[in-house]
Amino acid sequence: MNPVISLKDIAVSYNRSGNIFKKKSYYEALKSVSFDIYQGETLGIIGRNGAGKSTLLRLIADVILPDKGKIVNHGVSVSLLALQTGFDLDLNGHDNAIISGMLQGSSRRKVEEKLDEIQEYSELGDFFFEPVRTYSTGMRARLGFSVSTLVSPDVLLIDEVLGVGDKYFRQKAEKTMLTKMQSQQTVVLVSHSHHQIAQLCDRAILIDEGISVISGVPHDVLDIYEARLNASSTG
Amino acid sequence: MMACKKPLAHTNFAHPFEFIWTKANFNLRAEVQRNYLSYGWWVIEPLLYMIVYYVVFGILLNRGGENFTVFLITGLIPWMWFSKSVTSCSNSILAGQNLMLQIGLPTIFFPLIALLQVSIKQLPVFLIAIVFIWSQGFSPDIYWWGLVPVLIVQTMLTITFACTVAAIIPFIRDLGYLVPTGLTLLMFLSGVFYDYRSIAAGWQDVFLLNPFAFLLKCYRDIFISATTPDFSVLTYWGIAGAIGCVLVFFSYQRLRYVYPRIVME
Repeated sequence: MNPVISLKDIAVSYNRSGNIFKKKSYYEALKSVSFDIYQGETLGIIGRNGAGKSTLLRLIADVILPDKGKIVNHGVSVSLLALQTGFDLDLNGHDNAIISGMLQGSSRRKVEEKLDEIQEYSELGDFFFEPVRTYSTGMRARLGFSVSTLVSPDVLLIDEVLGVGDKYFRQKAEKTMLTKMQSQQTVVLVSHSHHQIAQLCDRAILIDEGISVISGVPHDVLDIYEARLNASSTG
Repeated sequence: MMACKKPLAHTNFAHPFEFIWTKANFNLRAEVQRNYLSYGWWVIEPLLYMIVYYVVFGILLNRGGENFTVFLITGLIPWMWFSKSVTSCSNSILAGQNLMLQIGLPTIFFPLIALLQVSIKQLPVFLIAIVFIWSQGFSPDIYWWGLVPVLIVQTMLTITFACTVAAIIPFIRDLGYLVPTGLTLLMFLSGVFYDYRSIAAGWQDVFLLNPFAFLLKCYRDIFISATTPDFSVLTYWGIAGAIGCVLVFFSYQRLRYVYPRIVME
């Protein structure tokens, strides 16, 4: 199988901004990460807080470039769905859905044709026409998820979004994800829920301290992750 | 080893202009819905400025002279278009960080959306000003065609200036504090509420080297003196503006991957 995106020995470090009283310093978010994303798979990324998962997603989404290493996109469109979605808080859900859809590569007309579907799937009701500022975290996630699933990019990156909202929507989202996976949608999923990684993913990758430790069957990778967590908490 | 190979441009925008237009319109709609007087502010705000300057310079300082209202309008309205463009662009990249960290999109979209938003808001003001000037006895004549090149040159210079300010501020955020002061200084140096001919004769040529002083003079040549503006100087500024726009565009392209990191820090 051919990879759609390949990462080879990626490293990223950020500047911590300084001023006349404070010297600049550096922070290594990723030290050495290598893996491939294959067409049609659902890939889970696990790792503790601060392991560099968000940085990794930003690299894949073509938001930033690595400081070292190579990332090759073999011609696919990528879109990132995260809790801090690129929503404009002053615009209403309707307008944000159009903007979001256009950012994912659709024309305005194409998104507008799907608006009813988006509104219905998101279950926002009249809130669809209220500013996103007034939404709860769950409602924002619902809107983001609805747009991203109905305006399909080649590769969908999902950062913790499936974990929010009520149990009912979570189940619905998981069900949609399963349908998507069967229809050959490529998904990269970041989640803290072991259950979700085990249930939804074909493959998982463990990122620890900026290094891609292991990739394999979700169950095995989760076991190693558990073992590492326990080791660091006891020792 | 620093082998940073550029990935394929997989976030190529299929509909860049449609996106900028749509976002600017949505922003305006959201802004209008927050205010009780909604669209009214687009006209009320410049009118209030007009009244303030008229009272201070026309009445209190008695600097007015003949047709001072028309003189003030022909300076103030083009100036406000420029000054508001720079102000709203200056913070546009930092304000767009939410979106920028989400998806790889050309950074120049942020100042361009802000520019378009300001320009759309200026449109009714421009039209009202023209009707007013007409009502004061300065009826449209062949010289009004001069407005076309003058507006084009002002647009290009505004894009260059505003996008440059917007590009620099994320790197040196302190500069944001200097934008309002800088604009006030430039306003005083552009002759918005006084005639350049009222300053010392030796300084007039130097004064007109400021492109905005020159542009305001063009507007007044057209509307008040009913003459053609100085086309040779206008051409120079047109060329400068066009080169500026191209440079701005390429600079933004080069900095495309730098801004997401800068705004995170």
